[in-house]
This record gives sequence, structure tokens and C-alpha cells, in this order.
Amino acid sequence: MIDEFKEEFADDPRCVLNYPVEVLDAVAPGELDDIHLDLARRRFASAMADIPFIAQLALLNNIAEVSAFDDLVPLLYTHEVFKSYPQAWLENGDFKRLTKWLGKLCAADLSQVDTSQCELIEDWMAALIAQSEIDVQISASADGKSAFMPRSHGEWAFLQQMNLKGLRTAKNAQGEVTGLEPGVDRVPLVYLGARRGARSMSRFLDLYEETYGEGLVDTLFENSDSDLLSLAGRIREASRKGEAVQVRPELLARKDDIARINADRPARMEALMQRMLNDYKGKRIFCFGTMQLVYDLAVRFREMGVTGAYAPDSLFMCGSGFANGVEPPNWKQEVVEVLGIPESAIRVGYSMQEALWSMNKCDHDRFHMPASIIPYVLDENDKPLPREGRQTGRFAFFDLLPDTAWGGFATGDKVTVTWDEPCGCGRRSAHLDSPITRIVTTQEDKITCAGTAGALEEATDFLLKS
Amino acid sequence: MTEHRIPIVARGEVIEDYELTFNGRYGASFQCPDASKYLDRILLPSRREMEALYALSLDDVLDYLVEFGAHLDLASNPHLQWAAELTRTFNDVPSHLVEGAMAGFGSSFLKRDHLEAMIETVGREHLDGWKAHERANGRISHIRAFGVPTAHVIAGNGPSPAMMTFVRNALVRGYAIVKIPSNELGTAVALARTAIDMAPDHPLTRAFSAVYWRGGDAAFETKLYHPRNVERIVAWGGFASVTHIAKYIRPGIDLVTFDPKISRSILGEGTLASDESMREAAIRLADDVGNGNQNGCTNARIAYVVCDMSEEAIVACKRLGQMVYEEVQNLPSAISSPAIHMDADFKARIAALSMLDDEYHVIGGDERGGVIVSLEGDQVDFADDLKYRTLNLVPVRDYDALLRYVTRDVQTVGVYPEHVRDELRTVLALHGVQRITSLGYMREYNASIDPHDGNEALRKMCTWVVAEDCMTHYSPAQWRQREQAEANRP
Repeated sequence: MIDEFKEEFADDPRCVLNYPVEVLDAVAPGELDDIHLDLARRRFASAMADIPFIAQLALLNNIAEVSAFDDLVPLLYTHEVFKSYPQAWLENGDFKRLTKWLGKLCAADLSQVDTSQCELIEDWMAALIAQSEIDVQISASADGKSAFMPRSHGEWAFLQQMNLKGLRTAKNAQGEVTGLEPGVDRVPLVYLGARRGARSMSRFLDLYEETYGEGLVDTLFENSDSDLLSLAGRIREASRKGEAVQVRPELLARKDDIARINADRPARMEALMQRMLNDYKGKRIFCFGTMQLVYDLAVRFREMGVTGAYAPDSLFMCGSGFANGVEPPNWKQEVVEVLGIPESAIRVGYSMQEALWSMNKCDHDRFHMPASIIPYVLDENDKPLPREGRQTGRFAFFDLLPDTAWGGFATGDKVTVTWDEPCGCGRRSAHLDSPITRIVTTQEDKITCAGTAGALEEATDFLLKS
Repeated sequence: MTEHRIPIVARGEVIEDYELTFNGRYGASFQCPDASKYLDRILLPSRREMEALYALSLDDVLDYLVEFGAHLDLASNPHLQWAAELTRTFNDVPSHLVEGAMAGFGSSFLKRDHLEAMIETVGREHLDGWKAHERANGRISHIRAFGVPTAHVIAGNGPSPAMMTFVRNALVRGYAIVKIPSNELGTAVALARTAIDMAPDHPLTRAFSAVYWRGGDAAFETKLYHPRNVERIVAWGGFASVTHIAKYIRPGIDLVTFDPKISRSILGEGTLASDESMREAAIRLADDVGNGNQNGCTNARIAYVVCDMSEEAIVACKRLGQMVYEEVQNLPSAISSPAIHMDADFKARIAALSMLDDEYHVIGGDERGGVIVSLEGDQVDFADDLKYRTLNLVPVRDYDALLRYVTRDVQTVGVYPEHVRDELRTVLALHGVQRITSLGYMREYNASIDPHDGNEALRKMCTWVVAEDCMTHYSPAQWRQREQAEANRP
């Protein structure tokens, strides 16, 4: 089965979707090196022709061909790439130029996209979806500038299929696949975020309802507004620099809506809590949130005297860490008791929106590399560390799955990778220590920026005063 | 791996109880004592400790500093050598530039005439005793400038802030507690140890302490920043560091800030008129951009070129950009050198601009430096973060077009030709600019003599005390007036 997988993978890496995790996990590091390099070489060759940014980076770094993994390192995107447009274009609503810029970051041809009717970011994103293969992802960054990541419809669809596979092949405490049959299993999915809008999660929620039935998804908010998200970052940065912020009149016109959404916030949180307590009690549910939110929920339930809230084959998927970066001791035990689920039903994942993969923590508390990436650990000068032993540094990867977007990305995460010592859980892949921290927080005397949530409130305040 | 150990120097005593490990810049770590544990040795036991400083004359202080300068020869001073070595690991300023700055300590900074010029900014009469002022009502006000216990949160982009702090503290006769920056761990300690070697019991030696604690360590800072302990905080540093210090400010503690600044140039009309003027401007601008590898606040990062924005003018701007790039390459290696490594984010930003060739014209952009010409007159978003000898050349139609970009973050504006200064200095000052100088001289800023980031720094570090004599001229007092009125009554 492994040989069959390798053969197919060499031809089409997206076949990872069709193989059971047991097969993927049985591939030893190094075994895929030749295939990885060959796939990367092909990806580079086509990108040189159809991704202008890659051609530019290759030129600046004197890279003509990829003959070793390290040749790809200067070609990795960073978060900076996705916000390398001039801010004035966004403020003036110059979506024509933004489209041209975006087209240079990926292999899609965006030259025919008509943005003349676009006034807001939301309009622009909709125009791109309607007229091109690109569905852009927006995110706010600490320096106040919005990042726009181009991804094709096909790439998003693949990612959602991978996520769905994760749910379908989940195992219970006894090691049996719990399964998820369309038309048979109607499992409510609770997401502690917004149903629609700026986050990539909304695309998965659509697929879930398409596959398992309308009305199964329950979220905290209706919509996460891209324009407001972008404005929030801008205001924070402008107030830091003492600059005036220009707000487009189209956005100003919507300030009453925004005020209402903001005022509803606590009531919505409370209403979801009540639904989780009453409507879903004793049922099998899937819940997606951060560790912090899931923990907060459990603490609240415990205070109310609730134990064993849900069916044991429920799943709780937790991304990112705790608000202050510190895991409360025994948090998992506390949570499982209240929620009535086995510890294995709490899945702590590591992923990011730039990735078409996610890693789940194994029983030995380690994240395992998926077969579909070439991982890197970079030193403080962004030079690759040896692919052996244990290495600590900035995590980067070349994702072999995207064909429109560029798969190379250097994260802001600090990781420790064990390359060649197999994990006690039995998987053979290289693996990461947990927890994973941000690069910046490891430097002393650096004060980190406020989170997005706080900034959004600032933005709302600002709009209401305008 | 080398162990980097940073002692506390507290009032003439070196404490080497290396208990804590911290991460510095660029992945290296260092060890130092727990500052909390030694706080009572760092703080003055009593204000009476400062009396010895005031038993000295200002000439005694000058003699001490001049002798101190003689001990700061990098070739023979092991403490400075140690500090210079540390910067190789913890700082991105090339070591020859660090050594160049250190060489200036003894050879120019601590020379008597330079120190006299510093004294002049406050007035010798206020630093060396009580200066008498006769007031109209007969009162004689004796005014003296005093140093007070002060925490100095200094910048770490070179060894000079530590040196400047040492001298300023000595001249005002204060007590300095220097918070060692995580990227410049050595110089403050080296100065304190040199002083101990030279004159271990001298009051000025005991008036300078150097301590590392993690900036933002609330447990330590809450104890330190109390009016009982320090009356003033002199903070060099970014928005974040000043914001967090600001929460300790209260009646009894005042704050002097030297925030991080950026500097720009204005090339006035006529610059593009001839090859000669363009070359002259390029040679001067290259120094402003590249001297010290663009690590300083005085380095130019943007140059505005006033022109009619015609096609010819834009072509000329590109040529000017090329000349600046060439002249940066011609700078002597003692003052400027290509980047040792460039971070990936910066490269990505330059690569993006290179692709946007309708809006930007990029010359170079690698380890050797670069010039980005903004073809449409909009400066790049990351203009304030330009580094590795990279300049953004921005053509503008008139002064108004550039003034919209000028805020109080701009410290120095270098001008060419000279008449631009006379036309713009008031307007620039009103926009927040603190220094205007001739193009090519931006790096030659002597903030120890001229106003420092808009501050009369040395004066501001003093607490001004008045001792009044109301009796010599029998100045009539309020309580006396009624008595006299009654006595005068017929």
C-alpha cells in the first residue's frame, strides 16, 4: 500500500486525500525525498513561467533551478508578501491595481477581472470569486496592514475535503472509526466564530452543510466583515503613528449596522452558551474553537454543576493556544470530565491559513509532519538548519499541493523539529514539539501587539465617533 | 558555546551572581544576576550619599571625565573589548562601526572643550554653584541645577547612548541607574568597570550603575520606579517601551523621552537642473543614507525631490537614484558596508515593488543597498523601516505634497540647496521636525551640545532649585505690610 501511495503521490500529491492516515503515517522521513524534490522542481519550473513574484524572487536571489531543498528557501513567501501592495490603493479603493498586484502573487490570470463596481473589500472579494478562479483570504496583521492571500477555488475545496476527512475518519477511545455518513449522521457543528465572511472556516462550514444537511452549523456570529477587519488594523497603526485615518464614505455609511453587531456581542455569546447547554445536551456534536474558548466553556459548565454534557463520540477541535500563551495545568482532564468525552476527542491542531494541511497532536503530545509538505527549520538569519537530529527555529514549509497559489511559506512560528528519532506513538514522520510559540515572543524586551479582537472594538468606536 | 555573562554594577560594586538566563536578539542568550535580589544595593541607601558629589567643583568633575577618557582606549581597555565583542553576537551594527564609535569616546567626546560645550547648554554658573538673581522686589534668588536619582532606559543601537548617559549624569551630578538594552549588553558595564579601575571610591564612579532586567518586568519596575527611588526616567525607545514606562509616571517622577526617530531629505527645485548639481546632491545624500549602515535615526530613508513631475523630471529622478546608488557603493568601508544578511521580509517587500514597475523603479535592492524611485510621488508604506542602505526617492510637485508626510516622528531633515532650509525651517518645525541641516551632514549630529530630539536634554535632566534670600535687601513681606501700615498711621 505504501508503494502504491508513493507511486501515485509522485504523480499527483493530492492523492493524500484518498489514503488512510495509517498509510501516510507509515512513510519514513527521507523515503519521500526524491519525490518531494522532483515535485518541487516541477512546481518551481511552472511558477517561473506563471507567477511573476516567484520569477522576481528567483532573480533577486540568483536562483535558476531547484536542485536541493535549500534552493527553495529564498523563494518562500512570508506574511509580508501578502501585504506588499501600497496602502493608499486600499484606502482609495483602487481595486484595479490591487487585482493586478494580486495576480502577480499567483498563477491565476486576473487581467480580465472587472472591479469598476467595487467600493469595498467585500465587493472586491466577491468580484474575484465571480470572475476568476481566485477566492482571496484576508487577514489582519500586527502592523495594521491587511494581508490578502490568493487561493483558487480548487485549493479551497481540497482543504475542506481534507477537513471533512478528518471528521469522517475520527476514532473513538476504543480506536474505532466513528464514521460520518451523509444522509445518516446529522451531527450539529458548533463553531465559536462567524458563519460567514473573512475567515477560511466559512468555506468549510458551507461544505459541511452541503454534505450533511442544512441547519447543522451553529455559530457565534453571523458574519465577520472584511472591511471592518482591515480598518481595525489601520486605525491601530495610525493611532500609534499619530496619523489621520481616511475612512471611505461607503464604510462610514454602515456604522449603525456595525454598532448593532457590537452591542449584540455579549447576548450572542450567552445565547450560544444556552444552546450548547440545552439544545445539544447529551448529543454528539462537533465543536471548533480555540483552547481558550473550549476551556472557558468547560469552566462555566462546571460552575453550573454540569458533567458529561455530550455524547462520548463528540469531537472538540482546538486551534491555537491560550490567550496568555500558558496552558492551565490539567486543563484537558477538567474539560473532558465536564464535557463527557474521552481525552482523545479533544484534538489540538496546528495549522494556518497559508497551509493546505493541518497536524493533530498525537498521544505523545507531538505534531506530525504531513507527507504533502517539505518542512524546514530556519535559523535567525533565515538560513535552513540541517534536516537531522533536533532543530529549533522558524518553521517553514513548501506545500506541494497548491497549483495556483505558491506553496512555499515561512511562518512566524518557533518550533522544535525532531527529524530522525521516531515518535513513541508509532508514526514515522518527522515531528514537532508542543507548544509552538511565536518567533517574536522569544526575544526579550519586545512588547507584543494587542489582539485583533481589541482592535476591532477600537475600530467600531472610531467609526461611531466619525 | 560561549557563555555571555552580564554583571550588575551597582554603585561601584560588581555583582556576578549569574542566576537568570535571557534570550537576546538573533537567538543568543545571556546570563545575569537577578536584579530584584540586588535592588537595595542598586538604590541609594540615603540621599546623603549624594552629598559627596556636591563637595566636588565642576572642574573636579571635568578632570575626572578627561582622565576617564584617557582610560577608554579600545586597544588597551579589556572592558571595552569585551563590550565590543558582545555586539558581534547581540547586535546587527557591524563591529567596525561599533569600534569606530568607541574610539571616539576618548579622542573626542571626553575632550575638555567638548565637555565645556556641554556645560554651556546649562550654564556653568548653574552647575557649579548657586547663581544669584536679583529680583525687582528685593528678593535674591540663588538658582542651582541638581542631578537627581534617575533611571535611564537607553537605546541599544550602538555604544554611544551609554557613553552619553555617563557624561550627562556626571555633569549634572545625578545618580544614574542604566537599564542595559538587550542588544547592547556591554558598554554601560564596561564604562562602570573602567571607572572602578580608575577611581574605585570616587563619588562619580559610585554615581553610575548598570543593570539588566527584562523591559516590562512589572514586579521589578513597580519597585524601582517609585519617587522614593528615582525622580526621573530618561527613556530612549519605541512607542511600546515608552507606553509601558508611562504607567509609572506620577507626581514625583517625570519623564524625558528620546523616541526613535526617522530622518528625511528634501532636494529643492534646481537639483535636477544639471549633472553637476545632481552629482553633488547624490554624493551628499549617499553619506546621509549609508554612513553607519543606515542604523541611526539621523540616516536618510526618504528623499523628496521637488520637480514638475513631467516625464523628463521622472527620468531625471531615476538617473539621480542611480547616482545615489553608485555613490553609496563608493562610501569608504570604515563608515559603510553591505549588509551581512538581509531578512526575508525585507527582500519580499523589495521584490514586490520591483514587480510594480508602473509605480516604482527599483535600483539594486540587495545586500549592497538600493534606491526605490516612487514614480507617482507616493512614498512606500515601509519608508520608515528602510534599511540596508535603501533609499526611497519621492518626486513631489511642491512643498505641500511632501509636508503631508511630515510628522513629529521626523527628527532631521537634510536640505539641498541651502535656501530650502531658510524657506522651510519654520514650517518644518511646526510639523514636528526637530533638526534641519545641510544635505550630507545629517549624520554629524551632536545631540550632546545641540538640542536632542527637540529637548534641551541636559537642562531637562536637572531639577532646578531656588534658595531665596529675602532679608539682605529687606524685601517687604505680606505679614509685614499691615504692621508697617499701622506704624505709619498718624
